[in-house]
Amino acid sequence: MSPEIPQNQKATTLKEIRRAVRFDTPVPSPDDPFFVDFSDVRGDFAERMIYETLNVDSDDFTYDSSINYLNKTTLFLGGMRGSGKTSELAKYVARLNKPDCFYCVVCNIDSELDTNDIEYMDIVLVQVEQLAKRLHEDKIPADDQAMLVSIHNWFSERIEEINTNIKRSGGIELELGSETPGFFSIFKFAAKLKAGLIGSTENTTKIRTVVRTRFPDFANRFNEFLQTTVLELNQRGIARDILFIVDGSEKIATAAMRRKVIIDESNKIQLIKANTIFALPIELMKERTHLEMFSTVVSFPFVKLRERNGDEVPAAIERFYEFVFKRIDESLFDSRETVKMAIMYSGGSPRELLRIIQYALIFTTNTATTIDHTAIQKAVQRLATEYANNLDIETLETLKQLRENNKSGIPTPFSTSLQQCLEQLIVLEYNDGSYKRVHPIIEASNMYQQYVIQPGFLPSSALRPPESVL
Amino acid sequence: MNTTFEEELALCLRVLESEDFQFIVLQCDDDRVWRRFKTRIQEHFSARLSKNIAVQGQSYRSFMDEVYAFAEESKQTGSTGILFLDDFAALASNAEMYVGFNQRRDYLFRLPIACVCRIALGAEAVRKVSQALPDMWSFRAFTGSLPSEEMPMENIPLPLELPVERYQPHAATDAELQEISRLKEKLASLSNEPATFLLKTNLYEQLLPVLTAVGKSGEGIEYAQQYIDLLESVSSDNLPDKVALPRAYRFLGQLYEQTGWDGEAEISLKKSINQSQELCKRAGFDDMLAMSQSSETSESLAINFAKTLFILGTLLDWRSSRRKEVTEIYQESLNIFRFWSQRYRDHGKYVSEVVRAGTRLGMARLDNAEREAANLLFSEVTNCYPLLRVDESDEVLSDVALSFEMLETSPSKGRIENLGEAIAIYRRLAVRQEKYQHSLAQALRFLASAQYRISDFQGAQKSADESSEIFRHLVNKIFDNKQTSPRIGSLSFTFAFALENWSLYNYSMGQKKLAIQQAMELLFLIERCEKYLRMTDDVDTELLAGYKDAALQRLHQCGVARPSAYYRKHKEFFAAQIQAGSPMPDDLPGLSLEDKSMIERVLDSIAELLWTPRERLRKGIKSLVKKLRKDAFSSFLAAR
Repeated sequence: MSPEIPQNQKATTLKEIRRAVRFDTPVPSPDDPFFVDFSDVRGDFAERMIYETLNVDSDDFTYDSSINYLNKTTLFLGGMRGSGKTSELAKYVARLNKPDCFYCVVCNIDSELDTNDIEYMDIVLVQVEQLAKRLHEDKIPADDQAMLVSIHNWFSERIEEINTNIKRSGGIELELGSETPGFFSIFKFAAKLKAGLIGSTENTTKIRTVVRTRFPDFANRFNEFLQTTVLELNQRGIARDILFIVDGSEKIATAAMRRKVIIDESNKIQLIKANTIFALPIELMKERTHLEMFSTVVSFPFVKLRERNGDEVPAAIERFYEFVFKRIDESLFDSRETVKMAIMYSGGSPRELLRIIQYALIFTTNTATTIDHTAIQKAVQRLATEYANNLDIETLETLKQLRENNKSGIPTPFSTSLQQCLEQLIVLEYNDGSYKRVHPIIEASNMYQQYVIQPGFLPSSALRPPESVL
Repeated sequence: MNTTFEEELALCLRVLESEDFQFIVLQCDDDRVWRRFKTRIQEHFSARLSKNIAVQGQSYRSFMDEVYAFAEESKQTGSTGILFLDDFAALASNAEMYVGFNQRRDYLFRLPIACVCRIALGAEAVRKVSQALPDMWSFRAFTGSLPSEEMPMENIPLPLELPVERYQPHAATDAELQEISRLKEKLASLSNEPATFLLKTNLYEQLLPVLTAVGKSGEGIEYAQQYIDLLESVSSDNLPDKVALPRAYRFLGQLYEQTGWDGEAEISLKKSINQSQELCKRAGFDDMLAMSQSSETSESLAINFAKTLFILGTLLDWRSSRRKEVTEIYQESLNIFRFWSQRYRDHGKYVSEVVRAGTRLGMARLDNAEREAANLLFSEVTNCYPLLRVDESDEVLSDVALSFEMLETSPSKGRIENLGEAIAIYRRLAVRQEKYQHSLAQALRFLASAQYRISDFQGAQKSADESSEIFRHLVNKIFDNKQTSPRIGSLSFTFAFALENWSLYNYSMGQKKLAIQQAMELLFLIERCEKYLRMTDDVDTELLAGYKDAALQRLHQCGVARPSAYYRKHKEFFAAQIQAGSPMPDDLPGLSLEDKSMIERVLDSIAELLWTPRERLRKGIKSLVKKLRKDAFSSFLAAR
């Protein structure tokens, strides 16, 4: 029996590649063997922007709380799916979680909550829970017992109130528990409420009704908890402030719900006085003007492999070589050109590149020992057909327009159709969003060739390389 | 057709002067008005026979037999009889009746009667009659419309403690005291370092509302000042929460208001308003509503602004010279609450604010005699009732009840339903706080009036009894304990008005015993008020005298020859019966004084005169002297 291969370990055989290219497992930290820093090749995106927005010195990653006592930053990091946001956020945590900077608390709402049914207050509960949990696990002493008792009592009363409502309708009540007031009890209360939210629909409604009615009061208490904890962390030399990282919002089930949480409930977001980075679903980037009234919005683009004029960006391509070869031994490819082909078809999306390699594996023969050019070709062809099957006439018209505008060097204005293309990764975005182009795999599809490149062109079985790859 | 009762009556009387058959159709929804109309006709044509014949429950044959019999009676008297058909609409709806009645037109027109027929208001009712009885209709002599009477409450000066209640703090619970103590201690423990700034603002934001809620206004003012000083120590552009300063000034204003320092309160509230408006302008908007409509992030600024306006409105409400200003303030406040409430309609947010502002504005519009506008507002508020939380505050619920109470609806049944809702809410509130018993008694009084109007006398009596009981209890509490209370004036006059009204209703219904009971109780109440006057200057003496006159008049109408003397003699008896809640005996004590000797009657007359106002005293003395002379002369003649 072959030994268990640890998750993030470089593949040295074809069999091991499948595990090494799992794109649903993020790279948790810069120390991870798969971690690759793309920050200097994301075009106009500058990591420095993030630090400066957070009032962190980008040279030594320190935070000066004495000059920033009034500043609590809300930052939205907006990027397309698969652009590497989660890994990027993990990098920030690694850099900033230290005594002369932040006490970082990570909240992955896609794993903590039911993404089919979320409101903003659910996210705040996760923040409370994760902060209290971390404080408890780090054994931070709780000096202000009176405050903890007050918050403990508040939660107790809310749960009793919720249970009264649940009882009326014959539902199963939330467990009250008997912990003594402290970080742990607050963690448990928040966890109970959170569990209730992902339970029955009736309980979810009752919990939300109670918390929503008292949200300003809840916000005040949470803010007191935060500010008091900040002072204590400061005094103990543990950190200078708290930073929440809220990831996973793009996994909220529907666009309407995503919009509701981030846009419609932005008033509630403003009530919580804490430094927070939110991952922003790409379709909400168009609400930038609204969001910038109370926050900073930073666009997190794909890695640009080609300039607008078609010139390759060697540094970016090299970085992707690094990306591939950290996961897969170079000897498992027949040549670097094969890898380059996959890289160029990815359009600068790490996840798309991994997908291409995954598909290529399917097309390797049983006796093959490497992934070759043909396998990549077939993988791209297969993906092109899959992606193109979802293209309707309106979308094709949009792509045509985009292509013509790019050729003429003029920007393409926003449209609902273009927005949908971005959401579905039919169109990829670079720099600060000012440069968009069609996904190279789609460009390779017969559908695209026929309707966009050469209307009336007869399809053939030969793969048409995308314009940008040639 | 906007005609008055008197105008329609005059025209109808003119028509009825003719001795020929008349077919007169009048539209009237108000039972009381109809009764009065008939009475006036009967009084005017007192020499002519008159009769009511019911249509309902009769066959065509039996109905027509009655009509013919009345015609025959009238013929015997030599004049045209007046036949009242109160439920003529029933005839027009019943084919068995209206076909025959219409066909008999020529015969009927030879009878010496005038048919005065009542139908409902509205074009539909008229259409029905004209279509069912086209021939009769073509021969109609007169059609008219009798407007419903305004509800008695229209003419009542609003009681002092309704509707504008300033914020009433509640007694602090142990939990609240503990929380206040904790927050104060924590504030005191913090240094003045910049790092503590945000925590301090948070603590003030928690402390000030709870100090306001429990009425610790002195302390609250101190802390509010400290909070403002803290916020103003930082440039406003750097404040993380731009609404913090307007909010702090709002807290301060509210606390000053609680303390009774209205001038300071107004200054602070206006500061808050000005700062909010400045923030709004800087955001590029002309007004808060425009900002709300354009920007989802403006909620806290807009709501704070609306709340401040509302508090300012309640502060200024009783200054009649600023009534216009107050109306505008309430309107602006309501507009903003309404907008955000609509925005959050799925969550029921800001519904209670809409209720409070809507009720205040409705009452302000009512004060300005803008009945229709007021009605729309009360209707809006009552529609909010199902959206309120189960644990909604008493203040909000009482506003809803008040809106139900003030909402005028037609037909009367709707009014009764609304009053029923108001009463149900007041009952719940009255269990928790005694101050709502007055509101409950008032609403029951309105209900009794509405029930009288639709001739539900049993219901009306029940409501009136319950209302009286509550008023009695409240008034007794103050008088028996020899308390001075700013409420005694309004309480007594509301009760007095109620008693006067009910005795009139009962008198007009022929319920003399009840009318006398109520008149006697009214006199008893007035006597107590007069005694109270010696303790304070709180009671309006002219109004007292007016009620006293009315009560005495009622007794006289009910057959009491010497009302004042009767009261003095029998008040203890009536007071005991009323207090015990015992029903009055069939034979009221001393109702007839005719058997008394002349001397006793003279002495009673002098006693009565001593109770009456001066002009009546003068007239009374003249009359007495005349009577004495006449009686003396009669006695002299008898002796001879």
